[in-house]
Amino acid sequence: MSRRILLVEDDAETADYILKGLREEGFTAEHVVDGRDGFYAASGEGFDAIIMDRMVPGMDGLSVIKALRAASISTPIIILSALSHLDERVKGLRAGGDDYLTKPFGYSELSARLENLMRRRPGPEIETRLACGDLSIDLLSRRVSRDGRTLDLLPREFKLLEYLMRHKDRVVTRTMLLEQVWDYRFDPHTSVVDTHISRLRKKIDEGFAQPLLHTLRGTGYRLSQEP
Amino acid sequence: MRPLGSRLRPGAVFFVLLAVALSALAVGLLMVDGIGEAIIGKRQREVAEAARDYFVAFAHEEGVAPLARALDLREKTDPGGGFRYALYDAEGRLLGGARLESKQPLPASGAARLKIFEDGRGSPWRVLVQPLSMGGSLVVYEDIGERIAFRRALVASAGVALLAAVGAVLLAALWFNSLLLRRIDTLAATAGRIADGDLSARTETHPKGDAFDRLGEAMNGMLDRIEELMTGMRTVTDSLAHDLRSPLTRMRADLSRAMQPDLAEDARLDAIEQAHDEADRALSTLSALMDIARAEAGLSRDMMAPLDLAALVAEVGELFAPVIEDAGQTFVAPAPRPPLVMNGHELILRQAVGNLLHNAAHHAGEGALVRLAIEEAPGRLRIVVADTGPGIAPEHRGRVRERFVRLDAARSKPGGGLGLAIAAACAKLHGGTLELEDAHPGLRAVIDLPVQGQTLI
Repeated sequence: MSRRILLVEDDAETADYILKGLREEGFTAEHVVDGRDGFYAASGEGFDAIIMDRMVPGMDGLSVIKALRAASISTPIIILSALSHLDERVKGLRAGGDDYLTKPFGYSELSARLENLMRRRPGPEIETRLACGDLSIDLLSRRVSRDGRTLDLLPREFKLLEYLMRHKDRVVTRTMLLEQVWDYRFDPHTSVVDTHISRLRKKIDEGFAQPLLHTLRGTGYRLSQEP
Repeated sequence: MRPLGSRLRPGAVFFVLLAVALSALAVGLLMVDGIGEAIIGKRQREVAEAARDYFVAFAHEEGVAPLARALDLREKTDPGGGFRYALYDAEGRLLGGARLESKQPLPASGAARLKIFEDGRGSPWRVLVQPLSMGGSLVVYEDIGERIAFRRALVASAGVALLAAVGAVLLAALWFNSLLLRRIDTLAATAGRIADGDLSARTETHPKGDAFDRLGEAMNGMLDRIEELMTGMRTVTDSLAHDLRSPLTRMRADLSRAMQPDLAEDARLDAIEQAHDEADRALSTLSALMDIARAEAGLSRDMMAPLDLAALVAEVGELFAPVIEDAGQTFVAPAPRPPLVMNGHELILRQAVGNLLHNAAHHAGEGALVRLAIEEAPGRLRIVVADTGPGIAPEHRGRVRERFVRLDAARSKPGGGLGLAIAAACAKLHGGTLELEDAHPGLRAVIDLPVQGQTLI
């Protein structure tokens, strides 16, 4: 059964854009315009994730989220908002949202975050070893090796690699990395991420036949055996 | 503008107060006089009655003739004391005592106030007449002329004093009134110039001044802030137009290129990606402006929470270290240290530190040393980013903290010109300052945060 996503969004153009993307990816998407309808839909049926616009008619997005959380509905929620400043983001997350995406955004950014949220859902399983092809990291000894060779990583490189490993085969965007690896929520410095990635790439890919760390044009990166 | 004097008359208040005070004073004076007179009059009456009773008893014991002789004797030896005594027979002839005359008849019995003549001179007296059972009557004369004269003099001098006081208070009120109006007119004139558009108008104040100087200082402080905000706003709109126009123009060019029908697919994607990046740049400029505006207005204060500044600074340093190293510079990370917990706005602090490091990476030049550190001073935590680059000339240090100011006039290097403005707004939000100092050589940027009253763990 395909995964079900609820979209609460009153702007028709944005909604079409998101729905088209979701359906292309094989999700079953349900769309409501009104916050109150969104609340009823979310509390009634089992959705895998909710995309919630911050400002919708009927009942405002944050109130819907607070009401859902109060009713012990823990479906992952990603908030969409034209309110970009830092305080709004903090408010959104405090209200019970799991992620906050500022409009305008690219669909790939939304998709990557959605994947990330839905994957996070089963709960943090205790892993001590992560692997991608012949690259593996030991989370306890903090040892990284590829094809039997030990790689010498700086702590910050290890942190980045660990995040990429946990999101193996998935797209992670620059802003996701900034936010989730470094807790840094600003666009002006996204090129900083490229610097980190190119250094990491040098250590894990250079001298090996098959590259694992791929750059996705205009979107971000993916750690995967697949090209 | 109507002259203020026509509307504001503090003097009127003084006149009313003065009238009330004077009436109260006058009433008080009359009361004192009345009470005094009543007390003295009563005592005098008692003395007169005691003397009368004594002489009546004397007449009964010794007879009328000895009393007349005694009164004559008293008249000769001691006429002072204000009291005189006389004894008359039934026909009103003087038997002995004071030789006083009245044009009006004395009462047959009891007290009266009469004009009495002695040696031809008349003055007010009080008389107390007591008929005697053996015929005739005893009269006690009390000279009240002196008392009346004294009271008149008292009331007159009090009146003169009151009049003098009225005059002095009137003059003081007029002087104070004109002073008040002059001071207020000065303030009003400044306000008028501001209203007419001259934002640089300031009112004159004296450092050790009075309440008006304090008001003037407060007004000047307010005007400084308003002018700063207005100038800031003007700079923002001008610069925003420039800084948004540039990425939008480039974006438009990129998109035009992407629309060319004969373009290779790779080149088209390149063009679109560039347009995409330009859009991001414009958006981030907008977000940064919003953040600055909110931080400056203090709106973000409710987002403050306890945070570990040591860890925060170390993490941002870790994030920017490769950028600094790629710029051919050496990065000196802050020394590991125990947590420094303070109340702050984590996201803005991270951004502020990041901006300082970003600036160092872009402006300090190859071979420079970039040092990030936290310095502790009593009640303060100072986040220091020092580099050994060319630095900023002292005359530019104030200006670079403003929004959109970039010292390279041609704006050759990319960057919104908002980095230091955000750092300054961040410092201000936390009640601190952003200091740009000379590192001999290079720039030393310091976010100086007060942590007074906060528990440092």
